[in-house]
Amino acid sequence: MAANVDTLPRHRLIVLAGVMVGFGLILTWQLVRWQVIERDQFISIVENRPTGGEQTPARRGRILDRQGHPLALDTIEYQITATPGWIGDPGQVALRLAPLLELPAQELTAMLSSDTPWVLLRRRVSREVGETLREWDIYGLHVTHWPRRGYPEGSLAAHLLGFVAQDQQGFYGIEGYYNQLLAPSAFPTEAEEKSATPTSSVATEIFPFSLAKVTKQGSPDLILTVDRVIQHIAEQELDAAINQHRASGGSVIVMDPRSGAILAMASRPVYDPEYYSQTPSTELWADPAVTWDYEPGSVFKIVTVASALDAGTITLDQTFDDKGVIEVGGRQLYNWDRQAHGHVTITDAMTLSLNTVMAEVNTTVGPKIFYAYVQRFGFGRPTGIDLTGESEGQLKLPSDAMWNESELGTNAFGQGLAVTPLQMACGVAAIANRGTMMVPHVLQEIVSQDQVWPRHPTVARQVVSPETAKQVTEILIRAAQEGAPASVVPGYTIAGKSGTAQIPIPGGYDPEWTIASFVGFAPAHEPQFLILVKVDRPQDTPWGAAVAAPVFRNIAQRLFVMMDIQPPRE
Amino acid sequence: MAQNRRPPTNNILNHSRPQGALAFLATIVILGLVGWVYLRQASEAAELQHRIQALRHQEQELQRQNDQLAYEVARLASVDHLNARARQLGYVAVSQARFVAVAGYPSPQETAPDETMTLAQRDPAGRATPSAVAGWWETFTGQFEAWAQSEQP
Repeated sequence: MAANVDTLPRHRLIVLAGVMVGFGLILTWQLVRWQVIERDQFISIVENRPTGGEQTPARRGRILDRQGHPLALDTIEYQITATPGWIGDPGQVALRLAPLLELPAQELTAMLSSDTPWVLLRRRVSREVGETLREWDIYGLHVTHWPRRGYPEGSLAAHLLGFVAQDQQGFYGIEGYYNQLLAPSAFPTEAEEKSATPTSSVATEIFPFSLAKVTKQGSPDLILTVDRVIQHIAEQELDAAINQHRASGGSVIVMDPRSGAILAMASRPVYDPEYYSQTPSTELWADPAVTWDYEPGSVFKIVTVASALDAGTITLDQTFDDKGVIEVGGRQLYNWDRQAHGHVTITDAMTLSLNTVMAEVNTTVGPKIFYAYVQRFGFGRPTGIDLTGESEGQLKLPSDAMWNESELGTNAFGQGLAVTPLQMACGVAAIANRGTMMVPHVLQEIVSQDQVWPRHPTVARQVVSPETAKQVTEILIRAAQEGAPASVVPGYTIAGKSGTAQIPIPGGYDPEWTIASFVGFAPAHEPQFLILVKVDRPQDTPWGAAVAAPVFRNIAQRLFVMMDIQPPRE
Repeated sequence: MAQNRRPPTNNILNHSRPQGALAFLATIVILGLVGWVYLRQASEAAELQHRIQALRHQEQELQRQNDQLAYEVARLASVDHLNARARQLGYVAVSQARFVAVAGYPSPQETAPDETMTLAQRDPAGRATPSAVAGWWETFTGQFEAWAQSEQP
């Protein structure tokens, strides 16, 4: 008996210990199972819970001008969704929501009574509506923040900025080109970047640093080279010219030829990027200054003369006998005034804008040298600007089957080839910058929290020698003073050339309409800005010297004041 | 033989029993403590994670509100708005400026805002150039010396 009494506690303790250890093991196993083995499954359950419907997009980076004024930034709007199973009285809730969501009560009732896990009631409602619904706090109704891209300056620089669609995808301009930078959710991680597959991002080619590092602290802000005041001036003067000459549209580019920085880029007709979907035609979304090409006309004579002078084929003292007509490749070419001007120098020919002399120069230079220079000036290929949709223009080379010898003559005065306004501006900017062409750009730096990544100016190539650039500048000073006196700002030295281009149509040229343009830089000997003006189809007068040159003068005059550029002392 | 016979013993209750029970209890207690510490840390981590998420959410919300305010300010400060307001107040745009040359007054060589200058202006570190610091220090020491001399009898 004594033995039985003694062994009882031992058995009990063993059983008790076994039970405790068993419970402990079960608890430990459950912890391991939940926190280690099935961890991902639980996380996915939480992440995919049906309350929100769609995930809210991340905040998109801001776009600011060179002075720090916001040009594009996210504003608050709301997305309204519901979990129908949680709505107590769909009919009653629908009656309350209908006026705010601007939807018929019957349609809302049907949506709130459906058996889907969640239903989208309105993609976007205003901030006021969203906040009202939040205050109502209806069980089963989800009021989710949904960013909307705002452009506080309205349509200012619309083409240059582009727009952001409802799915937060950027299109056209800066928004399209730097979409990966501005919207980091669509961004590769550092591990993905290190993987063998190279990214197709254009931004990666420009910036020699990891994109993942730039977006580590969220979406960065982009500071542009564009100045909103200069942009406003350009747009205001372009609008005035279009109204005055009842033109169909036009473009203005203001750039710093020393760095390639775009200070302003305006085009008409324009749209409001905040309400991009209300644009009458989707063709308006593309930036005409970089996307649409045109035959430049006499402005292109700058390239012809620079090429011939740099190749040593002609000199400033050389005279040409202008008979008013010249035959090149079996085609007779005439001056714009159908007149013969006799013996003239190349400076006279530029001032009088003589087509025949330019064609003669080109026949002397020959197609091989001429087209080599044309390509060196950047025609026939994109300039490399950081904007989407850049066109390369149209340039036929002697090696092309469609090329005809007569084109050597017509190309000399800007016919038979097509360029974008930006290409033309960059070509002349090379002359202004002592023969060195810079890559045009609109991004000045990337700012993320406390870090700054500047984009340094990049040299494209040396197009002509500094001596040639200087000679062409002197020619352009006289061409502006005598050929397009409306471009001159009293007290300042302007270098520039006007052009009146015909518009090609099937079978020839449009007999009625022209494109009037002027490109120039100032101050001529120490250029601080270059302006290209292009006015499409002016109705009262077709001439570039009468339509575009005054626009150049008006903008330049205001820039002199704004940039505090003093006239040279006597 | 009878003296050598021992009564049957219980291992738990005899001399070795307390040690075994103590070791067992100690193991249980230690396991319990480890479990408690782990659970406490896990719950604290979860709570902190929740707080961090809430703060992040709050930060995002504040950022959005800040953006919204920045947008409204930018709307009011847009060029068109300022232009219209200035005209309402009777101002006119300056289209022409006459620069008056003052004899003996040096003209600045470069006045146009180029990229380099803009970058330097934006960079606070760029403003504090060594020459600027040296100039400030020289001015300061000069003022101090002048003050010290003025105090002397």
